[in-house]
Amino acid sequence: MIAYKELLTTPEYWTTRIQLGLYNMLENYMESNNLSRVDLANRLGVTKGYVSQVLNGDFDHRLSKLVELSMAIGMVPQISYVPMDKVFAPETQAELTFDIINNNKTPISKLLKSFNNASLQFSKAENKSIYKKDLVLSDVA
Amino acid sequence: MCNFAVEIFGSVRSDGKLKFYKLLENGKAQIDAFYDEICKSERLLKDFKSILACMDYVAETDSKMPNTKVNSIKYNGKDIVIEFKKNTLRVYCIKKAPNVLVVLGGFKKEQGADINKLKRFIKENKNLLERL
Repeated sequence: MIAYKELLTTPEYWTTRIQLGLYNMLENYMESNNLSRVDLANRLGVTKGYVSQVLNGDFDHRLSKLVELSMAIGMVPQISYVPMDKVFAPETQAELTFDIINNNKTPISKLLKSFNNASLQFSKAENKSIYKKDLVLSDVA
Repeated sequence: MCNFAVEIFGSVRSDGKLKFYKLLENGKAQIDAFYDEICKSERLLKDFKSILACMDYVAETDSKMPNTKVNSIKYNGKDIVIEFKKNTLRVYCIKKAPNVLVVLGGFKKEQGADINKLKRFIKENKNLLERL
């Protein structure tokens, strides 16, 4: 399975985030102004189909259209460029390490592969979870 | 007898409003096997990455999402099943805020069967899910 750090290096991730950000912006605008999709289309001077496309999270038009759409609802898109190694901060790393009974720190994914029939107890800063054989689920905070 | 466990779902952030886990059945996650299957296709892999991006956005914000990308499926009158989708791909999760359990990946053509599978899992594992 693709790790989070690797996902952050894919164009699909960033494209989807921008599309969802635009969706949220328009949804919030519609809700704040009590507008339907037709009302929004009329206000923006576009077709209802165009609005639906954006609200489906599938915006993939020209950059100038993104600017026009944003400004039509009183917003300005600002694009900044960040080095990829700055985007992925260690504290957001998905694979967390846990103390096990004998206080070793081992990635949980490796632990679960090596312990087929053993009890496994671990804790993280704010979570405490217990895995046991045949126990359906631990206390997940 | 099935042994269930959960593991942090390492493909989305772990420090958002929702925390994603994946279900392990006898030490294996179906979603991992599904990924191994679809990553042979460049097109399907791209779609899967888009789904992961949506899941990450939900993990971060827990905000409303376009229903073309994320669908809530009721079970016993409650919205606890979430379906992430992109073109022909589907990923099914069980949500009990602030936790989300990634259970199953599948294709649109098997949607009906997969949703029934998920509902059966929920029905047969109520104790498990109460502890989620």
